[in-house]
Amino acid sequence: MSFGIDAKWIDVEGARTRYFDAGHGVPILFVTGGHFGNPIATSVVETWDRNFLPLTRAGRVLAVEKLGQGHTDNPANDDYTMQAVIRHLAAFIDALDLRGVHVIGQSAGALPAAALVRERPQRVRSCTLINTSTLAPGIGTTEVNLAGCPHPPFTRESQRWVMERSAFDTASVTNDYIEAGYRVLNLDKSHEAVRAMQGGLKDSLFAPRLAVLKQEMLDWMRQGGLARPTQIVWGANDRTASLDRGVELYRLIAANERRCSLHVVNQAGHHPYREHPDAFNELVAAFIHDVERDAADA
Amino acid sequence: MEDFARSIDVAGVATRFFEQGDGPRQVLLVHGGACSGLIRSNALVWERNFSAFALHARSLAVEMLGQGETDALGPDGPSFPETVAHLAGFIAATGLDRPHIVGHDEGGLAALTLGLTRPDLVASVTLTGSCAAPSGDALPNLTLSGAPAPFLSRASQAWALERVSYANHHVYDGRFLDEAVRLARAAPRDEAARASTLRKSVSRARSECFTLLRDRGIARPILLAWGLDDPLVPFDNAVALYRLATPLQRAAQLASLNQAGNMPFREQPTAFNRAVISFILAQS
Repeated sequence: MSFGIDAKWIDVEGARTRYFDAGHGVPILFVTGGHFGNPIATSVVETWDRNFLPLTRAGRVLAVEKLGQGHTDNPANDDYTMQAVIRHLAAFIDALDLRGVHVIGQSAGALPAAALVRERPQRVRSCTLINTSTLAPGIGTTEVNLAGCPHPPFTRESQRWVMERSAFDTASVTNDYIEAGYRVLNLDKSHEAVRAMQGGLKDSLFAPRLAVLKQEMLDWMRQGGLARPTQIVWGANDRTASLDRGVELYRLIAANERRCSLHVVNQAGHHPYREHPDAFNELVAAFIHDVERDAADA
Repeated sequence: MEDFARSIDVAGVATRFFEQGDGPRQVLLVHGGACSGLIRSNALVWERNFSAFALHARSLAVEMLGQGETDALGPDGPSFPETVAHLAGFIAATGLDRPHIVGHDEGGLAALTLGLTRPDLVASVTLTGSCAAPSGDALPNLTLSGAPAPFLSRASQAWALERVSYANHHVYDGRFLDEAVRLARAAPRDEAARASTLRKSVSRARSECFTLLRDRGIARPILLAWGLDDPLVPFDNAVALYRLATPLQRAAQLASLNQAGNMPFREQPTAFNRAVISFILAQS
């Protein structure tokens, strides 16, 4: 149970997949950041706990745990790639038959969010992209910011250290949030993913395939592929995905898509929706409202 | 929007304004001195925003001292401090209780000045396409140089509007240009009037704002809502102003609207209105 509601489970191409689903109306899908196989910390769906229920006023809100993350099964056949994550995500929205999805992705969740437009253009209506050096052009500094964790892996302390390093103000890093991450970090499947990734797949498979995918995504966006209303929300004080990265991503998408806007939130790090939930929720609700009105007019 | 025109006496100055909507929340729109005086600015510049704000707030659009149908103090045109004082007087005269002020260009500078010096009068400040932004050691901006004669003719004013815009569609839609032309014909002014005391005191006001923002910060939430393609006050200038405002004010947002020049509220009204309204709603 998270967000005060029970989790749901669905089989997605053989992967037992956990997700949360509340409210009615147009589907709003949160795609969480992070990658599988990190022994220091893990990104969990509870990162949206200040947005999930408040945004049910704008529609049916879903938050899915990506392949290999949270409580969702690890990829079959050791296919620890972002390509597999995207296939799984596309199959998930097929399985639920979601139409007119407003997809919201942060950090390493923003690339698969945008990729959903490429994979399922008929199902995705808008994109909200948040602090992402995975998708933005240029050099992200995640590996620099999170290098040298002083705590042992798989601990509450390591989980907290990463989340606090990612925030502007540590007040948003609550005990519940850390506990949710700690639980996932110590699931058997998480240890298994760490063994696979740290045992060599991260460098031999995951990273090189991600580099190729990122180049494809940038080329696709430069050619006008992301032809959906897109808002970019950025915490101004992110050490891993600096504001310059956000402006560059914005300019890249704006060159081809009129309905693209940038919103920078002050005193916010990598998770602006946690540090400024009111500002974020208002932006998203208003954006979805306008996109839906335009779609209805057409 | 013209249906909502009203007039009020502000310390002896007959002041035209527009008002629609009600509720405890209030929004006050302040137009610019309009592109260096090449356009007879007026409150109808907000014709794509005024009613949208009225859905969420008591929405007012005021005409600044000596502009639109608002009287001037004398033949030389007002100084910038007189303009700000008139704005503060208008807030008092209309009984507004801490409105959210949205200002374009010089109107943004006036709003920022009020936010910095009289935070008791405002709930938040939004600036758009405003000369309040730092411009650095910029080359002379040639966007508005060499305006076609005759001064303040329809063709000349339309030229200026097109020059500061991303696209021209908004220039010929709506009533703003018609009203600017009507005002120019009703009260002709020669080009020399452009170099009024207002212009001279604007640079002093900017400097005072920089000082206060840097040293004391602004005590009210601030939003910069900018056109990505603003030829007059480029988006990079807005980023510079944002960086000046952020260290001392947590509730500082920067929004950029795509395919919009100096008047994003006219060129991309949906995105502009959304950015401002969601910013205002998040305060309450």
